[in-house]
Amino acid sequence: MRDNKRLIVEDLTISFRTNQGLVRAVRGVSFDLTEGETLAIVGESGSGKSVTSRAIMGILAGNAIIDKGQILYEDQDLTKISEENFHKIRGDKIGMIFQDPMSSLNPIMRIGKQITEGMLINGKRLKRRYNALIHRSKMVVANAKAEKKRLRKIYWYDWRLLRRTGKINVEDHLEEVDDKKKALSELRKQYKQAKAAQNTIIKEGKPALIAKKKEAKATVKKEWKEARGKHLQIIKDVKAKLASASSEEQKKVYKQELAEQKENLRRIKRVTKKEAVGRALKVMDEVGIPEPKKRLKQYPFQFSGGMRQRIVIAIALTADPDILICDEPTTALDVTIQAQILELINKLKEERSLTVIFITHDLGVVANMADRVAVMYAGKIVEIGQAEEIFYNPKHPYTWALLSSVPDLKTDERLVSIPGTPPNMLFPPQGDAFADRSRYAMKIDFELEPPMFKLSDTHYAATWLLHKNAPKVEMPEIIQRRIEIMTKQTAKEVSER
Amino acid sequence: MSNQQEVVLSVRNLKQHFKSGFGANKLVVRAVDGVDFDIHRGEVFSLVGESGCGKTTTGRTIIKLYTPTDGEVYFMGKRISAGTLNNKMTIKQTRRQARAEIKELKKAMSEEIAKLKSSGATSSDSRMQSIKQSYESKINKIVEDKNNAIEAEKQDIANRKRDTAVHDNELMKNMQMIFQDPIASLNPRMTVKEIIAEGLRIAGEKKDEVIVKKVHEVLETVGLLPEHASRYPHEFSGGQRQRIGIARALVVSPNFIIADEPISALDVSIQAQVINLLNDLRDEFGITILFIAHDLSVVEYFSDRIGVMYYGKLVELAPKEELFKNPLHPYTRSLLSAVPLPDPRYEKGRTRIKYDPRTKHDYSKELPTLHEIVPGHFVLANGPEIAQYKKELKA
Repeated sequence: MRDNKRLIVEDLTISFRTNQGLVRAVRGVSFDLTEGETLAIVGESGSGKSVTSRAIMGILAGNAIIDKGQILYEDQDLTKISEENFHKIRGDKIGMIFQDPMSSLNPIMRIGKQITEGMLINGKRLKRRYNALIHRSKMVVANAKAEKKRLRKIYWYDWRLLRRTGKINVEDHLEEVDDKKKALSELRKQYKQAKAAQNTIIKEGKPALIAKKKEAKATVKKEWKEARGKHLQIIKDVKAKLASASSEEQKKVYKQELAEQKENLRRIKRVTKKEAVGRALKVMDEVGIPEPKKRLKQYPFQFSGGMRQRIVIAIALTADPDILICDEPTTALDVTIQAQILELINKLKEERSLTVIFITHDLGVVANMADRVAVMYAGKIVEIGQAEEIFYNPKHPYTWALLSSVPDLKTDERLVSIPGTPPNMLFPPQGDAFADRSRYAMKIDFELEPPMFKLSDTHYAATWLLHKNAPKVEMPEIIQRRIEIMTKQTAKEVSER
Repeated sequence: MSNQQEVVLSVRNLKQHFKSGFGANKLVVRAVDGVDFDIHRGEVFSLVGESGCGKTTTGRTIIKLYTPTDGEVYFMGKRISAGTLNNKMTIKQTRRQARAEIKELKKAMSEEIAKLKSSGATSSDSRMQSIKQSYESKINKIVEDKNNAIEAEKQDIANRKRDTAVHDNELMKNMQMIFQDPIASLNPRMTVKEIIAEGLRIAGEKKDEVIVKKVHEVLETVGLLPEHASRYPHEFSGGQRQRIGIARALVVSPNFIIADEPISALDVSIQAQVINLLNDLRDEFGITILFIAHDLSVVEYFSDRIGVMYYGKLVELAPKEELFKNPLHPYTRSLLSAVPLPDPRYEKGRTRIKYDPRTKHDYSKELPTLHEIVPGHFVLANGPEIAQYKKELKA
């Protein structure tokens, strides 16, 4: 891994195939996450923030294509690995908390079962050990297969698109038809070449995988036998002690020990129910659910909204993930409970050094949670930087618009709402996507896409306003005033403390 | 200040209890438990509180979606609905009291008679008669009083029920509601025109030209186009749908609107649009608004007076500036401390005040009442607490 980067997203581009054409939901998003950091992704609905997080979780809808880019996690590219391999990462290494606590729990299942379910299903320890041993050689083959599938998907899509456009007036445009034919055959040739390359990888990888599997099987069997022998010996000893025990009290102690040892033996093979329940109780206590023992046997409808969200968090935490993705976890909750949940996530983050991706459109929540903030618009990150840089020194007109549309406790004037609606991503606009709704749009904004301008080592913004030839534009007065008030106020409060 | 203004809506000791189950499983949820407030013409009155505190129920009871359990609602000086729990309790109480009194009297009578018998006097027969008579007359009087009192209460119940049952279209047309969820509150099978015109038709408008004209007008008022009238709700974005909801409320030209969390289901940028729209409507038409919300920053921006609710009770009621300057009730303080602001430096140092009613208040000796501490600023408190709040205010 590079430095202490936990996750690297590079030039991620995702589109959805629809009857109308390609909807370009995410268009080249890059960011990285260092350990123990919180990155907040802000934006309107439809800006692609949820799609990005779903791509990281590998739960994109079926009609989504990852056109370009990669998501690097522990040296693996999450966009390429197969579904089967994703099972080991999803939930286990990368956890997710969903938006609506009302609908993300099963209403006819007791809470206890829902929390322990994942642990029990993923709890076959011997199988896991075996899988871990063959993981690397399996990945080679699986990656090649997935790549083949992806190539085929893209090929068919391109092919169909090409053919459909060629259908008009065949007689009039014979030349064009010829061109089309050529293009089609070219496409087919390219596809076949790419496919052949993947096929050779698979061919070479398969025997290696079979050999590795045999080896792994033997290793696991050996390990299991050793451990079992050890434990059986202990159990035998305890049994002997029990037989020779004289007093009732001693017998009781030994019996207890015997039961414990037997449980230990079972635990080598799999996560037992007892173990899972114990873990669930611990996690529930951690997220602040009172009387966890009693609560385990209750159904979701017996919990309030905040408590339900805590359970969802508890479920995500049982697997002890490295990265936690929170997709608007507090939007459905009211302020007091929102504050509690945010405190909880912050506390857990510190205790477990979790890396958090926090998706929201509430800027107040962002200010509370984030170390860094990425502002997304129309599938692109338009501004990214440390929280203080974004809030006290915003540069992109969209960030200004977002900040000024929030009513706060001190202003009285009319709110500045953002005119218009986000662009239709079937036809992504040329140039700056926000130009249509921006008061500060220049001619170039409609023609050329602005690059990311560097403001400091951590702060970048994509707007032509930062170009050296651009006219000097100050941020809107309302934000300037607000920042002034805020800095004064915090200075006062800090000095009072 | 606002006392001289005309009162549009006044709510008196409103209670709304929901019952479920029978016998041992019987559960009474006191969603609203004694709420009092007045709303003056042209102002925006906000109800805030966490979810489940009864603010939505209050709104729904006011617009007669529920029949109140107890208390009264007056709209433009007329009682539009009233509950009867209090009367029923009074009847029960009178009956019980009368029964107890009669029992006591009978006991006293038999004691006296026994005393008379044991003394063995000769003229006991006539004395006994007179004693009996005097007691009987006393008992009869109690029974009569009881019956009169019960009759009066029953009359009152009948009045209240009649007032609640009467549906005065002309009056109720003036009160409209905007619902929380812009997706669920619009019928997906009706076009926008049908949705908006429904209220007009119910209000008695029959001519199609008039209806179409009014629908187009109101669509323009809320910032939509007349050609949107023939479309279906699913063709609109969240903010536009909420505008349709507002247009539906506005079409009968009401002078009082209940807005039940109209923006909490919307995106930030759209929230600003809807708030601006509501603000314009208030300035333009002088509409009175009861605004129900849990987002204090929006409430602070939008309203004139604020009522804070906690578990069915109004715990604090004050003009906006006063409430934010001098929050007195611990729950209000806790609520205020939970509002996140777009200011990272402040947020990192913000500490949330926790509120636990069991530890903050001692109501074992004296129950709290809504008390006016300074003119216009009411707090739910008992004697010692009032003294303490007053001290805090001066400091």
